[in-house]
Amino acid sequence: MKALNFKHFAFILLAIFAAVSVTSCSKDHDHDGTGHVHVYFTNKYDGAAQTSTATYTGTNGRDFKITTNNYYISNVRLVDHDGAEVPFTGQYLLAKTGENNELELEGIAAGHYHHIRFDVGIDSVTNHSDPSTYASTSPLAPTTPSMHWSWNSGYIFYRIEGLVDTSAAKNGTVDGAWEMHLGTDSKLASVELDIDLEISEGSHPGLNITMNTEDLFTNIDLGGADIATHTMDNMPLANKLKANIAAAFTVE
Amino acid sequence: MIKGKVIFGSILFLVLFSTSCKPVEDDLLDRPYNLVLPAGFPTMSIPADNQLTEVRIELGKMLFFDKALSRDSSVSCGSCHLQSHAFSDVVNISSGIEGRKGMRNSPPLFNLGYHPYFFFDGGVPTLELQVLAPVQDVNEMDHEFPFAVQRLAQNPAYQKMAQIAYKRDFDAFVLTRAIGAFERTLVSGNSTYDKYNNGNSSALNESAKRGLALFTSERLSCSGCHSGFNFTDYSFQNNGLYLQYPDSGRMRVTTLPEDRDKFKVPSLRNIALTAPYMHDGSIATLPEVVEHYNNGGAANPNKDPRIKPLTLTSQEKSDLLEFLYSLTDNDFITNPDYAP
Repeated sequence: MKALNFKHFAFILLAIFAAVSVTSCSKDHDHDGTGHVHVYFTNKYDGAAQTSTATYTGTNGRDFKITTNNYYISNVRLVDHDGAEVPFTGQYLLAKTGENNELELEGIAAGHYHHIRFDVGIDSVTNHSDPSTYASTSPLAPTTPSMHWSWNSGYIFYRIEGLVDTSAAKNGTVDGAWEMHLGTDSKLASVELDIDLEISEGSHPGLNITMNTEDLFTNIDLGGADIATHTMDNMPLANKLKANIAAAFTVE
Repeated sequence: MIKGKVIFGSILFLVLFSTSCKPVEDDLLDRPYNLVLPAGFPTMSIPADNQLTEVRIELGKMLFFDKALSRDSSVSCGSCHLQSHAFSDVVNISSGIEGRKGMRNSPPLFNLGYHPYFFFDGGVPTLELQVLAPVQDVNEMDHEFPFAVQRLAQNPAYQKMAQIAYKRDFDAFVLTRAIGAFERTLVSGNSTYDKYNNGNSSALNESAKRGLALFTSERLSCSGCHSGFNFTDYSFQNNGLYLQYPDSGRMRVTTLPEDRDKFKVPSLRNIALTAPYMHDGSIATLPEVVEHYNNGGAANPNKDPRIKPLTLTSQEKSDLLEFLYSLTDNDFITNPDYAP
């Protein structure tokens, strides 16, 4: 009985300590009159969560799977009611299917924000930096599958790949590899989305952004002529992918 | 009072303990490495984050010869870069894991600290970044870089040396820096030609001297590209090897049509040791290379205008070869510092 009481007491003490520390943590954001935003990126396909096991049917009638759908988000800016940009430099996100792709934007002045702008890819200076100089926890560090070209030093901005039915009869046999690796400085894609974001002191709203993966395949004949690009070796397909990126993101 | 004594005792113990650690720490100190450059060589620019030290170089050498770098632990850097051949390979295309073949000839490794970029297409700007390529290339070591790092980090000797040399746990930074440090020490500049060039006028025989005069002549224009102390200007050129190339060379990284079928001009130092020749190892012997240039090569649209029929006499060819043989540095290929 006595032991049980002590356990209870210890538990309550721990709970109080945890509550206090959590409160004091979130309080830290509140003192300077600013708020912050949690931006989440989710890969979807036709409105549902995109998965690596699902079979999708392209507009060309070919069945295919998406086993990798990874991309870099950088150069995030919020645009206020005066049209001024609030930049969040030095923040990079490597978004992947099925992961909690969260970017926390801190120190945002109270006010109303009408747009969010960001790049898909890496700015030209950072693009030519050495991945092994970053801490292993950084999205810019060497990772697997690799998001960096070792033979033509630079990051892979968008890496999407999977399997596709390449049969002439389009009989649904999904066994041919397809892949699109987009990179090099000129392939940085800029995105602007309308938002209705109110920031007040201490507020920390979430902003959910969807990558509508189906929109990446506009004008792309996956399984036909457009089976693979590593950018330099198939520039037409790389250009089509880049052109599709800006329209593929929406705010929920 | 007793409590105070215990605390004092603890502090004393700590002080003594840390003092006794000092000699051990001295053993763990790394020492700067003074890279001795051959006479006539310019200063080598070494990155601020990878200044040469003894332990960095030793760690880099161990990694260079460690097959654990490859996915199935079957090949190391040293598998395709043999010291006896100035750290090049003896086959046209080297075998990676599972006998896989890439598309280019393994280049010799020396005087790398002077190269402004790496690979035949110049796609990689630093020696440290270069390390990422063979490890991950599907036809070479085919190893995801983080997995290679994780495996090597299990090695207690590497961990200890990483701490001493770079003051951090073994990671991608240590792996790329250490190999880069070792490779910068691969300096070659003590050939027969160098002895001649540094004042020993009898080092070259008469045939080699005639070959040197031909080499630098406007008629042959060899030294137009194979210039300077390292016998290369690192430019990208087409030498008329083929009319049509399966490998687009420099264009692979620039996409510019004017770069199609152009490859980085290689150094001619140790050239007698580095057969077979050309970016794809398609010419087996040095006399055949001389014959290629004498014929003027195929009419590739991007061929350099200096590549044209030379009408060399057989004496001139043998003189030119004699000069090329004088570029071999026997000290380099027997230096025990470079051996595993």
